[in-house]
Amino acid sequence: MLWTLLIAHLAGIVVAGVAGRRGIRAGLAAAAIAPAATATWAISRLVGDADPATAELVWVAGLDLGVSFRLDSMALMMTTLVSGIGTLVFVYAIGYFSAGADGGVRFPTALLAFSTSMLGLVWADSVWTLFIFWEFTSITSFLLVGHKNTSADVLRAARRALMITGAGGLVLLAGLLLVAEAAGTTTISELGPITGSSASVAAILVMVGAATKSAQFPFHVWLPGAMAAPTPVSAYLHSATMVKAGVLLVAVLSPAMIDVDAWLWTGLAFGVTSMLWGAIGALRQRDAKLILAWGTVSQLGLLVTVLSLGSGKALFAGISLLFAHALFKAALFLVVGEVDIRTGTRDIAELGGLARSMPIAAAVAALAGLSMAGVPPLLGFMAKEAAIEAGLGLSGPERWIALGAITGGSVLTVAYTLRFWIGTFGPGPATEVAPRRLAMTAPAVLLALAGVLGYVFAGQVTDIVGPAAVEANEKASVYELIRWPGLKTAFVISIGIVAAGTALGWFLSARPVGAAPRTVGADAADETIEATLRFAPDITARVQHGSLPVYLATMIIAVIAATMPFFASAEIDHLVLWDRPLQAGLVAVTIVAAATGAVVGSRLGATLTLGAVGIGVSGIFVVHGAPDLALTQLVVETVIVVGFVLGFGSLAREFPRSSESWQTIRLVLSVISGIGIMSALAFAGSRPTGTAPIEALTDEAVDVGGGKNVVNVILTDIRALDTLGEVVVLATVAVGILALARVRADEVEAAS
Amino acid sequence: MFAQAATSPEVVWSLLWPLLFLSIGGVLLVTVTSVIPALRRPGMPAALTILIGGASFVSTIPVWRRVADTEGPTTVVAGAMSVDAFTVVMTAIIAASVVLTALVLDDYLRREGLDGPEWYVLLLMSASGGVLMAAADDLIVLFMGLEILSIAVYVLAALHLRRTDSQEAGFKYFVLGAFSSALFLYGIALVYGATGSTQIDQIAANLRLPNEAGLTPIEDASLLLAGVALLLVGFAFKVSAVPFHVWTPDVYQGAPTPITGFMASAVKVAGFAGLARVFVISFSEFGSGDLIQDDWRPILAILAGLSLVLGAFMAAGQSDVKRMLAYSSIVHAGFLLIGVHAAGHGDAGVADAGGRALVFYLITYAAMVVGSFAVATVVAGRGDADHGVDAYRGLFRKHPALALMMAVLLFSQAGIPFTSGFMAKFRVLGAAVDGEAYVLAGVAMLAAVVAALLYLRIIVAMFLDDADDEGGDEQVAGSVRKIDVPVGAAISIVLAVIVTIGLGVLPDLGRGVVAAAADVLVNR
Repeated sequence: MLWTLLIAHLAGIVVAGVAGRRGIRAGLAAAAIAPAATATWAISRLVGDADPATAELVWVAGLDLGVSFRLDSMALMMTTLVSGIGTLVFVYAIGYFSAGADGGVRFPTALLAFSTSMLGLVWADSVWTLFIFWEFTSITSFLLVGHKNTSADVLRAARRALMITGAGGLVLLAGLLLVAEAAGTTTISELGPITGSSASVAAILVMVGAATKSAQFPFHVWLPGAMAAPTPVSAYLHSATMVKAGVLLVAVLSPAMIDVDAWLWTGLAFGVTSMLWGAIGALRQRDAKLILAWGTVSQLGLLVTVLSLGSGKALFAGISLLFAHALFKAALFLVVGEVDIRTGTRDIAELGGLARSMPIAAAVAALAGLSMAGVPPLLGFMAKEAAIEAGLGLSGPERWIALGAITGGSVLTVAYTLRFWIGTFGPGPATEVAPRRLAMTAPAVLLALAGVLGYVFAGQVTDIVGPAAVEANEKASVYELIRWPGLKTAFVISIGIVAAGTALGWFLSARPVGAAPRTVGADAADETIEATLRFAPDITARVQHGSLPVYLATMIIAVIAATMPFFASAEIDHLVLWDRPLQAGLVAVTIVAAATGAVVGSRLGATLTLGAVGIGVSGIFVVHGAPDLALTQLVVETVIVVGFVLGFGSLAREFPRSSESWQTIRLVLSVISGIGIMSALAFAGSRPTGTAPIEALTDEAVDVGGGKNVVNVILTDIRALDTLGEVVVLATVAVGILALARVRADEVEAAS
Repeated sequence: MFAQAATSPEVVWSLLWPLLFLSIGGVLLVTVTSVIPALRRPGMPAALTILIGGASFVSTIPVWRRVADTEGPTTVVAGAMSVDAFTVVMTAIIAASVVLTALVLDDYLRREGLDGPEWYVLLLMSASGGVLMAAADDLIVLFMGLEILSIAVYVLAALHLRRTDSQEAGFKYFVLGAFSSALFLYGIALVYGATGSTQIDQIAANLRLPNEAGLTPIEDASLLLAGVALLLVGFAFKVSAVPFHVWTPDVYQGAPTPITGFMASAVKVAGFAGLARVFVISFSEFGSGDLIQDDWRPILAILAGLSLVLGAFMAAGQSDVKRMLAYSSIVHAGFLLIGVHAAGHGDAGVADAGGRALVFYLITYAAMVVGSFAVATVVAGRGDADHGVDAYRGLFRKHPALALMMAVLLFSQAGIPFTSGFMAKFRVLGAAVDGEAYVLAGVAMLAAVVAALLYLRIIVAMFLDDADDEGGDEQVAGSVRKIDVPVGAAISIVLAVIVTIGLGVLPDLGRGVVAAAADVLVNR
């Protein structure tokens, strides 16, 4: 069944692409089919209490690389959320976009592709599969954030999101591999508790990976920027689903991390700072959507805090919160989008009095907001109550940290929720509104009502979140969501939170709205990315300047560095200065010629000295008793000199002047190269090994080739194939020259 | 070795067909086109080249049957060349890239107003040199292959007569290439001095203790290692590994784009084939005490690390796609070097994984890089100069199919799952991790992320940055060049994409082939 659904999604992407050519609404409608079917199926399973479904596709057998899915209770709950909210978002988007909007093909396909990736992530049962779909969600969300690609800011925000979440994915992969190594399996559902120092490293890596995706401080900087996306995308990706991936991961891996201290403390560090910093951020914003975005950072911080505690109660509370959050946050975003479309602004300083002109939206926002604030009779209340209970159930320092953070964060949450509602719908000069669009209103209403129904049917909700929590920690089975706890400590704290939050929110709402602050850290993230991009050309300009002599110098230096150590071990004792004094004379001539060639200013002079060097070397060959070799060398040298002279026709007589410093560099390099080659020869000559092959070669020449000229026999018989090969080389050169000569001829033709 | 050459060696010609098609085909092509003017007409040389390259490719199949299935690996021409699974796979890659390049080249030459059979002759010559390199069982034969390969490519790089860039590229490549060839030759001499042989198997045999030549390798270690270092310099230059990469960006950018594609695929494959054969077979021992690879593997690791980091960082700042791809080829060289590094590991299991990763990477890399440069050829338009990212802006709107294909190829280069590039990187990194080269694997992952940024820039430009939406469509359509995809280029790109996706989704397809080829390197 999982395959069927996956294939249905992939087919849906194609169909949506085709339908999208007729307009964005047709595309969205077509795209909604697959998620709707999946959601229906998932809900029927929720009701029907079925066994986990699994699906596996071995991709590369030898590499333990495959796609493996498993639909356990946790995955089933997430599937319901992903596909259920997904369906509502598609419907909503039909109302959100005007019929003639751009991107009819791109938007629905990208959104459905995201939804598919998210399902894959939720179902994944191997670390590889998880990683692959994790990265897919990063990429598809990048496309969705960059949908309105008109401004540079949007693209920058999209890139920031991609860089942070994409890089986080790699960190996660490293962490997951360590986990798999320690636990001895790559199958997530089989991971057992791991211990040791590698477990600590793994815990930190996984937590960092989760934090990037779930927008935890200091990686949260991408989330507010991602609000540049169309509101359906924000509602779906940046509140209900994608950002939950990290949280989900924390829950899923908690069985493996139960004994790892680093897990708890890293999680608390991320969670607590995010919860507080996010809430403070939400209080400072004036764009209604950004208030919610910062609120999401805060809420995700709460989730990470609670889930990383690891106790049964905490996991039950965390998963309940996750479920509740998905519902109310999606509803709130949908409302903001509706406000935006109908009034043309999201600035709470400009908005006001919408409670009268948009009563349904106001009611939805109120229900969802109260659920977020944790007020009965709503689902959010029961979940938050459970979270406080979980905090109370702890011992040691984490008890106070967790309780303090949950309480403080919740007070701020109540405050920004109130500020958001009053700023948008509260008293003030009424803002003009456009007519209501049913497609936008209905999904928001459904989601808001779900919060109420969740409270009414608390037992059924427990049946959904309970088994999911049990999979993460067996001790979670004894807990349930409680509608009215009576006057217990947790409830007292709740009452205190709501009272304090309301006072704070009221106070802040009364104050004039200040200018929205810039996202601290976002600039830093952009700077880092851009500095890398800037830094790269800088070093490139230094390393890659296009000058051939410098390239050559670079290579010479590298070669010398690579081989010098070996050559330095020459054995001087084996060396003699010369066999005959004549050699010394020839060498002197050669050295003088070479030195002259290096400093002479005219091209002709340089060529002639080069020839002189060659003649000197031929002389040495003669002295060594190889006249034929010397003759060959002489011929070659002559041809080279003639060739050079012919080539001078179109060049200036003198070499171009070069700077002093460059001349010095060249001088130093050539002296070093000279010494290098000399010591190389000395080194090779100083270590005779085995027997010299000369006798074998002489015998061979007579036996095989029947000739006494050993060199000739080697060329024509012993290594005949190589000679043939050299002929091919020559043929290639000939063709090359022919081709280049034709170029020249054509050029002359073109010029005339 | 001399004893073998004493009698006139018997040559099993039937095993040499893939090479003979290319080299004799090249010679024949230059002959017949100069004699029969009708064959010089535009299109004819290309068609003949495709025929020759195709014949060479197809003829690898019976050879494969013999060396991999029935008769086992063998050497021909008195141990000058090995015909084994590795040779055949590399030959097939090179022959395929000849065909794909010729497909692109034909339209390119017409568009640029250039023509002449010599382009194709040089292409075939160069490919035959590459095959010789991949097959060489003797360092001198290897050097010959290197020369044939290189000289033809030097000229090809310079052959775009209207662009001084092109001539500059050819010249630079020639000067630097000649320098590195000289070093390579000197390296051969030193290795011969130290081991008493130039034959790849014999070197390995002589290095084992006690060896036939009565040498004690440990005493000669520094002579041998100096030779090994110089050989490595020569190879590093050919495969453009940092710090011997300096020529790459300029030459890749200056050379005619289809030729750049050929350089990035066939030339690099030949270079790696030679490198792997020489180092993994000659200079590696498995399971014995004093491992010579302990001396060269660290150097290889440094080259790989430098290539990955510098290649990726320098690529990230480029705004010229062709130059970007040049730097990215340096990054790929880094990954491939990791493969060689793992293939030389003392543990046979790791070495096997490394060898397989290397072969798989070479196959997939050749396909995606030829395809990428084919797209660059098409997008640049007449003049072959318009390679900026701006040229790709809004490509999806102008030519959706082309943009999608390019996206697949770039995703593959970036190593995104379900493309062959992912599998290739995965296997290489897996081998590195098996071999406990964690630092190298970590550096490679970092480089992969940075490099992914640059591919994404191109992809983003193609899909998101529709050329100025507000400007009105009619205006835009008027100002933006229309993109025609010639049939030849289209076939070439589609084939490349098929390989890329095919091996990405079903990486097990060529499993036996890859395993057999790697087996040659590792389990000699």
